[in-house]
Amino acid sequence: MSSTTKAIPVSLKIDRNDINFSTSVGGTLYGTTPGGTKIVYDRNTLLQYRNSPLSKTPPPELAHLTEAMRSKKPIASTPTKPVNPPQPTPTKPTDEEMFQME
Amino acid sequence: MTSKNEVECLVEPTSSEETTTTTTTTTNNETEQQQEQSEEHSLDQNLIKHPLQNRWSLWYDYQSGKINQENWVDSLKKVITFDSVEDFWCVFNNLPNVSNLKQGSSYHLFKEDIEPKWEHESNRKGGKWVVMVKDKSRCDNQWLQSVMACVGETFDSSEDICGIVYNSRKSGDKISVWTKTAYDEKVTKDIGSYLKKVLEIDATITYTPHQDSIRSSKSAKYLYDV
Repeated sequence: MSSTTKAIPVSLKIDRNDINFSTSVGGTLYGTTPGGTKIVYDRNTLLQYRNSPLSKTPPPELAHLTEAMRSKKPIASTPTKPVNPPQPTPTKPTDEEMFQME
Repeated sequence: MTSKNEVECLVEPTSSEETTTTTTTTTNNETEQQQEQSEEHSLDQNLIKHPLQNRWSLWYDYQSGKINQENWVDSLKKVITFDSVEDFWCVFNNLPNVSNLKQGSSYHLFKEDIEPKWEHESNRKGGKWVVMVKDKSRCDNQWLQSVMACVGETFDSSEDICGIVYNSRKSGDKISVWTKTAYDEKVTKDIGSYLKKVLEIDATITYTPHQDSIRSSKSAKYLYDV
């Protein structure tokens, strides 16, 4: 049995400047410093995650804090007058609307 | 044959109205579940927590009277620690605004292993940049911007940052950034300049080593200004 061997095709001109190993696939999700691995988020990136469903739950520890803030003698503040509720504007359907179905 | 059997099976329960109703409900539930699942899939990208470089702890303290060294430590309490962008927002989306802090209270946001005290090893040779909050209407935003710069590690020498403090005081609110090495002029000044950029202020700000503040808090002289 003779086996035919072939050289694995390899491009001899390996010059891939298009690969940047310091960025993650699909962009710089996690920025890194040149020689290091510092995880950096600029202002806009942080704000982008502000409304994620994972960013909303109030941690129970904060409830304790707000309680502690309230329990101590509060600084005298001028009582705020209740703002007059906006006058409800009666919205009666106009005749036109009511009989539009015809 | 098989198909006939299936048909029979399907047809049989329909004779009883109750069964039909149950079957329909189940089908509806399943559809809803499937919808939910597909929604979750589309949100998958948002449901990954993004890690921060450091773990950060939020501390709170309140002094009704004159502040002295002993009672200050008693009132200082660690509130919470977080280490991801999402958990950071869980805290800061729900934390009472600094504009609502009563006079005499402070927030301290420090790297988890550093206590917000002068005596702590990481602070002993350090100091702080102090920014007076001139315009109270901007304080919430200025505090948030500077906090984001800390947890996002956008300071060039962010490893030199220990933490950031907001003081609500009768004499005027202050934002202070605490750093590790007061003697390193370049690193310290770079942090000060960047802080001004973040806070969008032009006024000169000053840096005081903690050592000087300990000796005399009133007449402490600043070491640098930018």
